[in-house]
Amino acid sequence: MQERLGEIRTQALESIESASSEEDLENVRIRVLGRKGELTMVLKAIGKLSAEERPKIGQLANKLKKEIEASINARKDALKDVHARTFIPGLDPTLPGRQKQLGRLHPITQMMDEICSVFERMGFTVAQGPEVELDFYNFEALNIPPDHPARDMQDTFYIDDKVLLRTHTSPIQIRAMERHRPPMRVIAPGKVYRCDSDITHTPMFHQVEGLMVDRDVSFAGLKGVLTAFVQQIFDPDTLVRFRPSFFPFTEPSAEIDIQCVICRGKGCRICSHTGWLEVLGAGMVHPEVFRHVGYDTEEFSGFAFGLGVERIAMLRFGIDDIRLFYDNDLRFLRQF
Amino acid sequence: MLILTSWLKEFVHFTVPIETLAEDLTMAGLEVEEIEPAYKGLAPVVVCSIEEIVPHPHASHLQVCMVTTGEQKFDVVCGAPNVEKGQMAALARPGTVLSNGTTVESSDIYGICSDGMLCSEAELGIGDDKTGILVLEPAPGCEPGESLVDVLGLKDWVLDIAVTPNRPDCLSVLGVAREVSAIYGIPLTITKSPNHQITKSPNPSISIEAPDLCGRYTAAVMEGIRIGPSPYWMAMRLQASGIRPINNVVDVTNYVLIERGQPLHAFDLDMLTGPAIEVRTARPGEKVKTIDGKDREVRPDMLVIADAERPVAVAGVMGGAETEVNDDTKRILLESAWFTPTQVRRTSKALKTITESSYRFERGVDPEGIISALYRTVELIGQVTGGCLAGEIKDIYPRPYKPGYLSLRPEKANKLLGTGLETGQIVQFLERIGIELTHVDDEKIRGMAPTYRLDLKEEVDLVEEIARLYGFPNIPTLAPRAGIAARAPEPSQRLVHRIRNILAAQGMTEVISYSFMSPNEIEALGLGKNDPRMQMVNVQNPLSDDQSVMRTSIIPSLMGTVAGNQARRNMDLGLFEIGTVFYARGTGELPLEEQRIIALCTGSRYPESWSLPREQVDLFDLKGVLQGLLQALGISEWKTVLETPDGPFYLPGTSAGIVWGENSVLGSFGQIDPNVLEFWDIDGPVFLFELSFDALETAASRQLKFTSLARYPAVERDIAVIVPDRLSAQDLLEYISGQAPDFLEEVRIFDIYRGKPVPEGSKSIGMRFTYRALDHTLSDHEVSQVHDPMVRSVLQSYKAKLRD
Repeated sequence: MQERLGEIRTQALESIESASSEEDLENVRIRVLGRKGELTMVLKAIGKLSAEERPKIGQLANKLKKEIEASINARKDALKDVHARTFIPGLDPTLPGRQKQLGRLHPITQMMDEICSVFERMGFTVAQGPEVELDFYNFEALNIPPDHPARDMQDTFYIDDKVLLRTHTSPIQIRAMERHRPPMRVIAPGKVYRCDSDITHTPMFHQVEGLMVDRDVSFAGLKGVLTAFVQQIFDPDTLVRFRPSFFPFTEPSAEIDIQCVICRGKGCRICSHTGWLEVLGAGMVHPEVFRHVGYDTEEFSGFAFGLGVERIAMLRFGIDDIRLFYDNDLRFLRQF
Repeated sequence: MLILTSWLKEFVHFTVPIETLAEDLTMAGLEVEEIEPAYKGLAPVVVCSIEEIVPHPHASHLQVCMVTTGEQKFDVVCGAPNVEKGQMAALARPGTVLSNGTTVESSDIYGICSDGMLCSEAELGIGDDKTGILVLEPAPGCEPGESLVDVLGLKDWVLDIAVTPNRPDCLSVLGVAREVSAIYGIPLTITKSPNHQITKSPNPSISIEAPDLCGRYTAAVMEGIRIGPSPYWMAMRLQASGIRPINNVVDVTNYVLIERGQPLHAFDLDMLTGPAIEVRTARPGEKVKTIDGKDREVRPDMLVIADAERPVAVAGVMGGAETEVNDDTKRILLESAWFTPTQVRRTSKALKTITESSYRFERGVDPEGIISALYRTVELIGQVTGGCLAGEIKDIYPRPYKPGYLSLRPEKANKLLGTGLETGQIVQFLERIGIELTHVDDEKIRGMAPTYRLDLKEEVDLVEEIARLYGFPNIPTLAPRAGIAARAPEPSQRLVHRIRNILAAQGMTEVISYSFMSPNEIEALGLGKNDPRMQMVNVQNPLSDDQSVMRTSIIPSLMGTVAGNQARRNMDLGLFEIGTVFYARGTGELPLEEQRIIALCTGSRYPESWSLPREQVDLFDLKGVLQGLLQALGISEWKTVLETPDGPFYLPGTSAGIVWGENSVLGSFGQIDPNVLEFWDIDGPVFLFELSFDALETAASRQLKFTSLARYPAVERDIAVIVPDRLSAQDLLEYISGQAPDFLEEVRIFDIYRGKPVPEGSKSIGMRFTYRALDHTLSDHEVSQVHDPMVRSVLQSYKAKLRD
């Protein structure tokens, strides 16, 4: 019997403590102290106990009854207090606030600004140039003569024989080198055009290219700058891989892979199960390019690099279709 | 380039696992994009045991075999003569790709469902035998249910290698083998083609009439050819390399193409008139029907191979159909030549035809490899057709290739790479890629590049070779040392950033759209013929008609964006775009590029909420954004002009131009005419402003200056005047500021009212005048002395009345 009283006490006090309204408390009272309440039943059964037990249990039960009543009252007062503190008639602070419509910048703008700022912190200056370019600046000055198979690497939109939509922002580098002598550290962000359209290609996209020319620029320095870039844009622990490739305007040329951001190098659909994602092209500026702008190839050396902003943004935000950027669906734009 | 590894192993015996080979090739510059099992199509083929054979109930020449794979039993219909109970055979389960390219499916054969197919060697593409099914000899591991590929040990892979345009030498098995040899420093094995029995036979005459377009032409005549299918090993290798087998002669030319990288062509000698071969440019009006069945007009700037009468092939691109090897061919003329890369490229582009040949010729084939490739072809054709060489091999080589000498300074290489390589190491790398060294010391290394490495022309080309063989990962990663040369960013750059941020701060969302548009879209704006926006830049090769010109206005782009969003029920839009527009100038000249800022709003003023009214935006929401932008840029002296001749797309009466300073037009704003919206199927109203970036940049260039904060209180006076409705607020305010009353700090319009008791055709304008002195607190009297005459003057000038 004593045990039973203990049980009733524990349960009752727990229920009182967790009650959040007067109604809850009333329910507890009925359950325990009501006409058929748990404690009431115990009290009623006392008569059936032995003469020795009777007074002891009776005393305990009555003490418990008082304790529970006191506890219910105390909780009731506390609830009233809370109620008074948290409620003014006619005002519900949980209603949604009156929000101003947020304006946003396009994810490509945001990504491009971020990319540029990484290089600006390393002393690069932004340069710009026309989007419709002369064949000379887009190809010839970059060591891609007419009838060169390397032209197939970029599907070009032509305006006429001499004029085209720039296929990369490299012409800006040529224009910058024509204007300034080394040392030179520029980045060229902007729109570029290639006639291609599918889930990973749009006829217009954005590039950021960079160029550094000085007396002591080496491939080791190229690795240093681009590794720092990748680790600032992605993750400080991102693994970076430089592997040989070909661009007519650089030699040696490299493609830069990062460990797949999706599968962390285990191999997945995004990285075609290689564990690597290509994010940058780069290389040491080809002497032929320097000759075109009259830089002394014995005195100066340099590196150049380029990246697709959409690609970086897709990897960063987990976007699987590049065309979303140019759909300008508000539901998309509002996510950034 | 698809490379079959068993074929590769004939030239270089590498021992590393296939994944390692792929990784090492990739890290040396030959990017392996994929590793595929060569017998991937046979993955569903399993060993089965034939348990019972019964005649097919409805077809006398067929039998129904009950086979087991251990766990499962299948009924398979089979017509092969050699099936016997108890045999172990190859069961091709549905999904198997057979050597002829067909895929096995479960099918109903005369009323019996066949759950696959018992295959012959030939059907599986693993042997020549097609007389009956492949019967497997009992051997350890050859158990029902086992994969046939495993049981036969068909371990072979196809590497898909992305070969960059500078490395045409790697467009062959031999070329890739040379790379493998260079990477691992293991020897290359090339067996020389044996001597041939030479029969006496009159040789056709061969001449090169355009030696600048064809550097070398070699030819061999073979007789006793029996045309037929190729042996399975050859067909299999071709298929694995992505080439469809045709007949034994054509297959051999393709085989050597893949193996050596030298394109070859076989003519049916008896179809050549003369017989003669002339390598010449096409004559006006000549045509060639090529082997793909197309009639092609060849222009005089194209090189052709002709017989005594007519062109019979487009040099380096494709052979002709009339002289093609066919089932009755007995004698052939084999061509192995070197055509000038740019010539082949131009022809291939003009004919819009890229072939395995043209692809290699335009990148450059080994001028010295031509003759050995021809010997190899003769050897293989002898082997597979029974034919033999007739007469001597002809070799016309008007301009023998002279490899240039290359020199390399180890110090320069180390400086460029940031490495500290020893001369000895550098020499080793150069030797591995086949450079014949003529001089070596620490100052300078001299040597000659192999003839297949047409890409090695100067010092830096060798530096690259050293870098890739040394391994990019082994080159240190260092922060470059450089002087500080921080140039200020271009002012326009910063202004673009500011404008974007100011517009976004006012709740506008930035969009970026294509720089292309359709001419129809610009026409929909209703612009006049002489409007500069009609001077469009045409794209020669657009992806589609609606992207055929460069945009001369961003309005169509934004209209498209609104339409697209409305179609997705995004109705409440506040959008802006900053982008380039393009105006055509002369041919060969760059168009004029200008930046435009454009913003619009439509739909509800507020996001839907329990506490905000559901209200449509109007013109003044849009103008508020515009004002906010100008204010934030510190442009104050601007006004509106009511005529907007450049904006025929605005609804009349709703628009105004924005003029700064004397006469500089910043842009315009207004409501888009519903007729214009109709073109894009847009629900209006839509309000829009457009600004010229250049004009804005000029206007915003003034430095901001601080104004002292007022120390004395202001006095406010309100009046409401009844004026004609057509009097513009701007005129009224200008008039007031023209009066320049003392102490007047600001006039603010706080109310506009039309309707009773204000007479029709008039409106009431409520204005609050704020007066303040900089040096003392104004008295009522002082204010009245300036305010009252000013009010009188307004009333008089506009015949206005004060509203009570």
